[in-house]
Amino acid sequence: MRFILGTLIFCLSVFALFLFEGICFRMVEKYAIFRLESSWGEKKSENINKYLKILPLSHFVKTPSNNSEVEFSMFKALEEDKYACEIMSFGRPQRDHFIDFVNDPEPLRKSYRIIDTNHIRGLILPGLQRFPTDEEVAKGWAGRQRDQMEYAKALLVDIKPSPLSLEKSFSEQRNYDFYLEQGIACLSLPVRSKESLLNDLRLLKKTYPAVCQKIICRAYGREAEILLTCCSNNPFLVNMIIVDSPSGYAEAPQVESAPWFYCTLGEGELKNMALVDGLLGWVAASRDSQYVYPSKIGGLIRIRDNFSTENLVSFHIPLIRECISFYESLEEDKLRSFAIKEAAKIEPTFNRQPKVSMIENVPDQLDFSTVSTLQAELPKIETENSQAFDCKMVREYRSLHADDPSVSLANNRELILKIGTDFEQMGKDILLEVGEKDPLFYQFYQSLKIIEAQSVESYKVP
Amino acid sequence: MFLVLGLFWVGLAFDFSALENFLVNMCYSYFIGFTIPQLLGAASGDSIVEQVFRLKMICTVCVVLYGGFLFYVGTLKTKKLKLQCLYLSLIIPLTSFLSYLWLKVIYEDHIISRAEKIELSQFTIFSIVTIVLLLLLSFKKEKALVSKAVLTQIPTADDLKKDMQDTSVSVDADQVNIDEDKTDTDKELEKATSNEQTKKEISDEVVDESTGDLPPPTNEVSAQVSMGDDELPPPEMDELPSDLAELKEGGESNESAVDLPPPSEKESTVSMADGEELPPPAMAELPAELAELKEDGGNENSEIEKPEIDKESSAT
Repeated sequence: MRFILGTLIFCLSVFALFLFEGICFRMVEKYAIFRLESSWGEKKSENINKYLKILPLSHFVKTPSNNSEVEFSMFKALEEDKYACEIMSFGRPQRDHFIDFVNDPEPLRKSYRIIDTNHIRGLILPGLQRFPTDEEVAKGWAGRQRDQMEYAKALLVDIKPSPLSLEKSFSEQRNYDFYLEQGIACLSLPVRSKESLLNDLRLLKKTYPAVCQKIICRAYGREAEILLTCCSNNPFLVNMIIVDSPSGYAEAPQVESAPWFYCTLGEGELKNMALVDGLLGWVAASRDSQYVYPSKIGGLIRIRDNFSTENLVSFHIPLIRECISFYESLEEDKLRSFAIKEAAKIEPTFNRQPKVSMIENVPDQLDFSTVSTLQAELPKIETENSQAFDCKMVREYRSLHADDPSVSLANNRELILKIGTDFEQMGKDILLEVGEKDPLFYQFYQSLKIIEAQSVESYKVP
Repeated sequence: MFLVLGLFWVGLAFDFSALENFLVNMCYSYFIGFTIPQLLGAASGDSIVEQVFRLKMICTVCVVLYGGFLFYVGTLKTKKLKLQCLYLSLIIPLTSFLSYLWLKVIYEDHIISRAEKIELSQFTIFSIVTIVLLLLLSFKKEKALVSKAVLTQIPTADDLKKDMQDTSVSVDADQVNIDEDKTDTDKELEKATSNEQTKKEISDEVVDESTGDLPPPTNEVSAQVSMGDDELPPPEMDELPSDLAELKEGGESNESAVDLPPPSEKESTVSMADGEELPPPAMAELPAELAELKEDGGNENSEIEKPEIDKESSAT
């Protein structure tokens, strides 16, 4: 009895400690950062802490891109969302602070210097000043070493549709105030095309080099597409890209030390598989780094739903901070490289079927929540074949043709297409009847059929 | 409780709007940024109908569990155990819910504003204080509660000393009394035994005389007989006290009285059985009423005994 009581008290004590540590990590910003840096090391580190790795900490979550079982882009995006949520858990205290700052009803607003350059108007500087280095004087950033120069830790460029009104909403102003307090200069930039954006960014870099050492660009919708297209060819221009629901995408830059990438998508946009694929490519390219920090949080994607929309407003805040401090540490030693990546270094999991250039929607029947529910209901079996596109029909077909080596060698995807085509040839009604018996098979077949058709078309169209 | 549960479901079945509104409002009320159904495990994407149904089920399960638990508590015998069970019935759910809430806050990607943090800290402090208080109450021994009542009754060292002294005095006095009583009783016993012996001897002698030719039993034989009855041999005349010696002598003189009727066996057995009883008081010592009763009783006995004697005489 005494032993049981002792064990119980010990377990409760361990649980209480565990809970207390979790509370500290969730509530205390300094502790969260300390734990992060203990786990991942300093910003330039290439190896994570091998001792702390044993512990089940959120910093050591496996990246979802390693999972080759997932074939649907949507499932990949959902996995990415889950991963981003876990890996960025250290940023929640700072996000709390941001929300409190923005929602403060009676804020004490500081005054900041606002400057214009040519047609670019409304660049807000945080008011940081320092003495220039010899190198900076030589570059012409400052007249002489004794003259103080204005600088910023980074420049946040909020890309807006043109024409832009200079009137800002209260929440937008408070957003800028927060960045300015962190030492980040802010600018709302109207953009019409890829070229104009490129020119504006170059102009800013040239005019205010001390302010624009690190550029973070944020865009929404069509402007996001312009930004992605722009950065695809000029990855060195920016350090971080934040896009919300881009209307399109461009190929991810295949360079070392690609800009950090953060994207949010609505639930409805997940059906646009081509777009999701393209954005996942950006995520993978940004995470493909030798350094721990970018390899973990360099590329992230989040899915918005009714509940998480409010929370996601602040998700990029800790990401921006980590990005700036990472590039600061790289610039100290001039380690940032823009060399072209070798072909072998490209993320293998994103080597998929021919790229779908046309943006086609997945059929309405394909309800992904239903698919995942139905898949979860399937009894688990141990098989050498891939678990992707696993359904009752495929299992039955495999058991019926157990002696046929071609069936055992074929993957589930091929079998679904074969069985589905056979049923369809027998008649649409039969396929529908089969669909009633095994809705998972039906959903898989419908979606695979569309993907196949798209890939055939893409081969035909040059 | 079960009645309340029944009424709850009946109310819902008959679309009692206030109850429905209560449940729907609960779905829209927030605690630490979560709605109540979300706190109770509902997903963010669940519809209102699902959330209300979840609330109904949780309400039902809680009421049933607590109803059953209270029923069980009612069957417990000791008050202490009942109270401990009731304390635990609050401590365990409260601790579990608090832990669950914190784990939810720790693991979910949920941003908490300042107001919500205050709400959370208030709830946590209230819960912890309640848990600690209830734990203290449940671990508190009943002894401490009783001690106040008992303390007044527990004697002090002085009281004990006094008691000891009193008891020693009373013991002495009792011993004296006991000694006196002993001597009295000894004397009475001696008297009684001597009377019995004389009666025995008298009866023996009468029996011997009635048998006629048989030689009179010697002292040795009588001693043997008495030895056979596990009794000590009669003391010598020299050893006897003066009173007893006189009685003995008187008895011997009575042996010669042949006129006396032989005592019946009944009488002898009665006298033997009542060996320890004191001799009956003399007629002069009795009060007047008792003397009359005695006389009446004696007449009756004589009347009853007469025919028996007649019978015996006729038989002889």
